[in-house]
Amino acid sequence: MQADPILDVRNLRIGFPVDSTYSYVVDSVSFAVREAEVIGVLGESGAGKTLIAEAVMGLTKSPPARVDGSVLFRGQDVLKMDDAQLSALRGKELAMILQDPTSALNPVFRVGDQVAEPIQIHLGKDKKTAWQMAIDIFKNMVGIPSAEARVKDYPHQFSGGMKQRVVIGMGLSCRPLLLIADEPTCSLDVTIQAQILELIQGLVSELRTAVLYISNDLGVVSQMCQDIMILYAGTIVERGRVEYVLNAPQHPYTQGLIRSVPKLGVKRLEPIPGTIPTLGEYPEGCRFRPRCNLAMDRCACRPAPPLFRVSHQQEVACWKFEGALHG
Amino acid sequence: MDNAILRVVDLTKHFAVPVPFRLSDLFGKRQYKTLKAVDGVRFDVNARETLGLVGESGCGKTTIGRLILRAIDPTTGQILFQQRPIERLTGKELLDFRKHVQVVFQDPFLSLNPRMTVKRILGEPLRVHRIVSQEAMADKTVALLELVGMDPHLSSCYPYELSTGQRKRVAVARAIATNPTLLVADEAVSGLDVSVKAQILNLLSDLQETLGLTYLFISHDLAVVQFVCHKVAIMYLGKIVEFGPTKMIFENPLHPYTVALLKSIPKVRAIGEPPTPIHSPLRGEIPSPIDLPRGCRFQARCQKRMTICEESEPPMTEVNSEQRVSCFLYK
Repeated sequence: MQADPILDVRNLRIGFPVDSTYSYVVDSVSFAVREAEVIGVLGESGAGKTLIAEAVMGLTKSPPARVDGSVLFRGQDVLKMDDAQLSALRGKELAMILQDPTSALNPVFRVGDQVAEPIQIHLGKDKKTAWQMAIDIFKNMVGIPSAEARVKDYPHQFSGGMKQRVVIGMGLSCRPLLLIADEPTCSLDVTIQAQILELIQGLVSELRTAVLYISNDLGVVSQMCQDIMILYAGTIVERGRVEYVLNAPQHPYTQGLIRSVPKLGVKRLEPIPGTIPTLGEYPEGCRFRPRCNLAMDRCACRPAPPLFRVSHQQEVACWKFEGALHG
Repeated sequence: MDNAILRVVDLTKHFAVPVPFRLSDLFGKRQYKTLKAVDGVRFDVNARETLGLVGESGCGKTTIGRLILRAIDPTTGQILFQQRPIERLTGKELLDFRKHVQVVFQDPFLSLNPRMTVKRILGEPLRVHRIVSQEAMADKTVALLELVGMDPHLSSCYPYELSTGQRKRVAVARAIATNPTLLVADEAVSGLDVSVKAQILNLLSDLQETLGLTYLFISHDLAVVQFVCHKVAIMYLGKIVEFGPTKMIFENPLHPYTVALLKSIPKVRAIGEPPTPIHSPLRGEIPSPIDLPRGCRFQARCQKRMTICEESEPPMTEVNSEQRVSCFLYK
């Protein structure tokens, strides 16, 4: 019997108004994250990765957006919470690391203040204790050299990699139950990326944090996650154990995505023709149909294909696999 | 026979950076320090070949690109394009050089004028270099767009109306409008989505084939470099630490920095391969190019450091006829 999930997203739909109707940028997305589990979200830009992350954090502004479904965090629906409830949750039990550490930090405050702030607010510590804890986080948690001096510096005095360490320290300062990492190493060099990945991996396994790891890098996801979902135009097209999905992809989109990645010994890439549809342009039925070389008549009809289980490790949203395996 | 289309000889570029302001600066001359962005670089690029310049941010790869474009002048050293030193070119000769050496930048949105239509963007190099007559301009624009795989109907669009992939194609079309010999691609596919990146990479390799282009491919993305480049130069703090054919460098890297760089790329786990804790091969960050350490530049982060590395700088050693490395381990 599996433990209750920390995050349980059910049938999440996020729509924006287009010509007197709503176009759903995220459509019927369901997934769960349990303690100490790292779930990867892989997709290209426009796939809705960040929108899902924002919805989980309760950041989607509605209106203009229309959000249906539920986002259960330890059984409570984030979408139904008021601002006070959300504020108590965010930064404490629910943390996020953003892609760009420069815009995630306030340029006019010392980094120590920014790391100490959530400790003061959520753990009720006084300023002096919070500062001491910030120094401790710098020194022992995220590994910033000469921590005592560095906490007094401003964000611009840090390199990109060091800034990301500060942001991670900020996110994990209150030992969250769920961490959302939105492409945290996207803007970093590979050697620094490796350091940051090592850091995040070490911390989340030590704290047993549940992680939703958003990325567009196959290698990063493969190293960081156990399970993965592939997102295309706001829908989950495939999901399962990371090594199965990336080595034996079943959905035509996942297959195309993996063929597009430059590999050793490959002379020519086989990109997927066309581009990802945007708001208001989604086709009826399967959203990948116009770019799919296996499309059938049925793919153009509603409803869109649900996720079919094809093996113990994989689920695929494609009519080809209807009735492939039950149970 | 000398096949080198571009030859870079002992190139250095130093910048003067002011030291942080102090009160005493009011009464004296402002103090400056030297930033050695490029410090003694030499390489050749043969015709119809792609050379990759690889390294972390701050290693000087973009500065080399700008020097080759003659956007900035070198401190010392020489750049020979088709056997001629480019620093002496003036007037017509310089214009001719600019026609033959073109560039594609990373961000196609910043490098395309937002107030010009695609037609005008492509028309500008054609007009400046008098490639075609005014009447033939429209036909040439259509031909260029078709060459980069774009619908010619998009020629009256503004950049904001195009997708990222399309903008990139326009940037490439503009670069090849003058029938250049050498194309400097500075992070040309960085920041693109996987499937768009694959389309642009295929386009670049098709164009090399059909137009006989030579590329200087500046990138930090090792997977891409491995795919497009014939030869690779690995840079660290203004110097090339290893140079050789792509296959050799990727299969048998010699310099400890190259080894660490390649090990840092996260790999896709095979089925049945258990997850292992990530272990980053390099500690610390790239030091500042202002106060360089004595001896080898990489020593502070190197796991194979010896006493000699702290004393003198390793010279470039030829390991075989094609691969060169600058490390005392191979001296």
